[in-house]
Amino acid sequence: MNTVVQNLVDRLRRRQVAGSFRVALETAKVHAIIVRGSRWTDAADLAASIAVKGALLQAAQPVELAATNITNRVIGLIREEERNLIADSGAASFNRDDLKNNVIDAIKEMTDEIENSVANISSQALEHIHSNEIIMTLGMDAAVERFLKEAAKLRKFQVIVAETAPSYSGQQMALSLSQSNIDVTLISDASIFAVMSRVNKVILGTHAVLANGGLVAPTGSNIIAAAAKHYATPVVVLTELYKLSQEYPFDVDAFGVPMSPDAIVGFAEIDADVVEGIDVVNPAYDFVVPDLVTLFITNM
Amino acid sequence: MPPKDKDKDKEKVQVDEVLAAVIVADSFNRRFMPLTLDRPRCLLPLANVPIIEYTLEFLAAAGVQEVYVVCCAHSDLIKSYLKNSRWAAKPNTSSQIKVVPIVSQQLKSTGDALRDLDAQQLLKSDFILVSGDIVANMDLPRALEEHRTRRNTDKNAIMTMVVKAATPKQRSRAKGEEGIYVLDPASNECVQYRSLFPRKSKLKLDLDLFKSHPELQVRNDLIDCQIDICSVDVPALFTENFDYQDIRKHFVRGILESDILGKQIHYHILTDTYAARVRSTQMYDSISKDVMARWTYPMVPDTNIYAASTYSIRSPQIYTEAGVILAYTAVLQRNVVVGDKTEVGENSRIVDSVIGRGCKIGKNVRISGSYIWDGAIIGDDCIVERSILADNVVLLNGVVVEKGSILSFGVRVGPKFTVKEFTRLSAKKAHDNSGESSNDEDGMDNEAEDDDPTYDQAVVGVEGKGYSWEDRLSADDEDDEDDQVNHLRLLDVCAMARDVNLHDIIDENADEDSESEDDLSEIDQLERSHRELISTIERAFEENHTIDNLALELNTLKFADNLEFHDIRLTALPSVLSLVTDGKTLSTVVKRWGALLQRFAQDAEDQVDLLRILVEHCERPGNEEHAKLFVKVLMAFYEADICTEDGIFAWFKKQDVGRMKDAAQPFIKWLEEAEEESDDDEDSN
Repeated sequence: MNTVVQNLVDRLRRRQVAGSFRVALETAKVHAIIVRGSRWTDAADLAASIAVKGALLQAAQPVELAATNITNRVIGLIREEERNLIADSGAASFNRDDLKNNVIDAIKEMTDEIENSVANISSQALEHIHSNEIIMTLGMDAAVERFLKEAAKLRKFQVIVAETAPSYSGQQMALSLSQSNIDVTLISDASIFAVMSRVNKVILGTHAVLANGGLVAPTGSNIIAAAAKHYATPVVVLTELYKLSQEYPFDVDAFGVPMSPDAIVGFAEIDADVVEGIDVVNPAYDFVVPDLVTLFITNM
Repeated sequence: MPPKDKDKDKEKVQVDEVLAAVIVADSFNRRFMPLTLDRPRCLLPLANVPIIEYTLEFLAAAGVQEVYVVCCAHSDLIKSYLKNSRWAAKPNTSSQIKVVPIVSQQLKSTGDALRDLDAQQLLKSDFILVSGDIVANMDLPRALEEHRTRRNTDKNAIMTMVVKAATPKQRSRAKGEEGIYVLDPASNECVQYRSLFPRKSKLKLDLDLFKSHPELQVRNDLIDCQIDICSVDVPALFTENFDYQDIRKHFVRGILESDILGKQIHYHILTDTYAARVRSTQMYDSISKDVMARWTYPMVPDTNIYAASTYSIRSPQIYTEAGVILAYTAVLQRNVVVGDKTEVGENSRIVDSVIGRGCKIGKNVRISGSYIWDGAIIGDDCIVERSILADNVVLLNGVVVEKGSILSFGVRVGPKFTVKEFTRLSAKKAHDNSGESSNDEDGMDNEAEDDDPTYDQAVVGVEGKGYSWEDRLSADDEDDEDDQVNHLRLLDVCAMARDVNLHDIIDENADEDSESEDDLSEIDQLERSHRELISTIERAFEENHTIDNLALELNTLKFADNLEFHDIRLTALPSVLSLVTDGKTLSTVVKRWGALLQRFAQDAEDQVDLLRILVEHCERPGNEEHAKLFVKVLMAFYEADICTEDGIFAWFKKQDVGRMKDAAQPFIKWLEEAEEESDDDEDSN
């Protein structure tokens, strides 16, 4: 049991498991194993043990907020199944195995929901994307990709993708969209503001949505959202439900996650003088304040 | 059917090959002395985490399943550390990875460690060989994959070295340990490898190399990460060649230079990830900084890879644990790591430093570029610059620690005392038991703890506690590559100060040191050649060689040592003159050996040089006799046609005013007159 949790903790710490989608699925998997295999007597006991393990996972990588979200969902599922069982049997006591099976089924259901959430979001695409619109996005987000492709089946529109240095995930996005016959323009991050005046709508993905509606989103999101605000362009954020976190951003820097500066300036290219004198900062995420976001689209 | 089952088993074994790694947890040198008297290098903290922890985490992240930790010095410490760490082979814990300590007391080198492993037959497939002080986040699986594909096609590709490209001024280059690689970029084969030290001006490449490799690169920009992917043949080769000690110096060179073995060594160049080894205090410094600058991500303090730490980061690269107590006016400027339960007093400033757990730092303290380990106490008004203060070091009020110092475990200094730069202090006495010639930095000859409580107050201050540590390696070191050893020793001493910092004047001095040192070695070389020239000439005098033969010999030496004619003149002239005792012997000597000088002074320019050498020789104290004879010598040279009139005039014009010039004045006058006369004669004719 501990091995399973510790294994995920190690992989979270090393960022071998990263991104809300994978973290959500892996966390759900671990919790299912705990429900199935660990020793517990009643619902409260099980919920407590899930909470403890969930806290371990969260501590391993504070920025992967999906871990806690899923933990809380599972605890909620346990309580719900307990209530259902009590209501069904009419007595306060019930079979432990019934609860176990019901909870495992519920977790399975939740996992399916997680896996289908992108499809659910993209089914709303036609309500938001209209013909001949110019849409801007950045990064490589599965929901945004699917959303645009879904709309492209019926509508004709243009997409401008910021390249999203230094990961250049925007380039992947542009490639993927162009393969679905979408009219794509790839621009550098620096020209986001310059191009914004022509854009009808900004569609972004996100890593997490915090309690106040602020986003923890790939670096560059803040620039794009701020530029959109200047031109009064609507910013639409696609978010799966497991990305909604109850965390409140008291310290907005906490979610930056500075990565190795290697992507910005290669270790081989720099001289000692440079390293000594300059801090190279390469955060993985931006914090986007809530007032920059116009609309959230979820898989509900 | 039993046989079938067996086959199946075999197949299974081949399918899921266990990926093994060998950590040599001994450095086999003394760079970190006296710190390593108490603790092996791999357990010293780097950014408050034992170095071996980085190595193990790196291997674990790369999916290594079995790790053999070969330890020699302080093996008990390493063993007990591993037992209590999260890597311990307990059921139901984290480890997907099995860490097995192997203790062997007789190891003197990496070579011995590998021979030991070969004897135990523990390794059954390709393995990763690293030392216990690697910090890396490189993509090891990719390098492994490359190695395996190569090996599937060619069984002779026995090893892959991991190297990293870097500019010459890169701070994580281990100064003094750079190598020159001759590589074939097409096949990733390393064709030749040589250490840059001792310095040589030539690199010889066999012409045959170009037959098999149409393109070769000679590169000096590669940092040796000392991560090797080895096949099982490697330990076996070490066993066969029992004189291989160092994996680079002996093994790699041996394999590459051997025609019989036909084995090949390949390389893997890292471009976008990090890998480095804590080879010296200089590297300790630069790797610590790289960790703080997050080059090693995800191995950074706030990832908390080391169990039970609680670091968090805030800009600009300040890492603090949960229980740090900072006075309101204390400032952590940038690039600082502070451990749990450490207190920093009012008006203290810390920059570019790592502070361990449970330290107490007083008021008005300045700490820059230093590494202060757990439990150190630093009194008010102290200044610590670019030094290492080990566990439980106590600085009383008003102590200044100048750059490059290392204060070992439990040393106490002060009050109001200055520790001079590059000092090494130890709480244990460096007793000179010259019989003990252990080269290990982790030598265990510390059992004879001195009970003598009289500490040297000149080194540690009035209330201090500790001795000055001087490396007693010099006496018992019989390494034939003396130059290199000296060079490295010099590097070790000033290593802490050698991270390059433009704004640091002192550092420039350090660089100058190294330059002058290089010059020195060149001069040594020159002196040696000169001595050889002189002895050749003297032998010729004794054995009465002909001028022809002697000239030939000198010419040969000149080519062999890459000398100039000037060098020959410089040695030949005093040698010849040494035979001259008074005016009488002069003519005979010049008659007999003058032709030699003539040969090496063909034109006017050469003759000017020769005469200058003569003047210098005469002006040197001890040659007063020759000084008196100067004009006579000059005349004899003229008469023997060693120097022509033109040569002498040219010399006289260039010669600075001095005793010799005055002495030569009449002769020159006479010469001029003689010439005029002859001119007149010619005219009248």
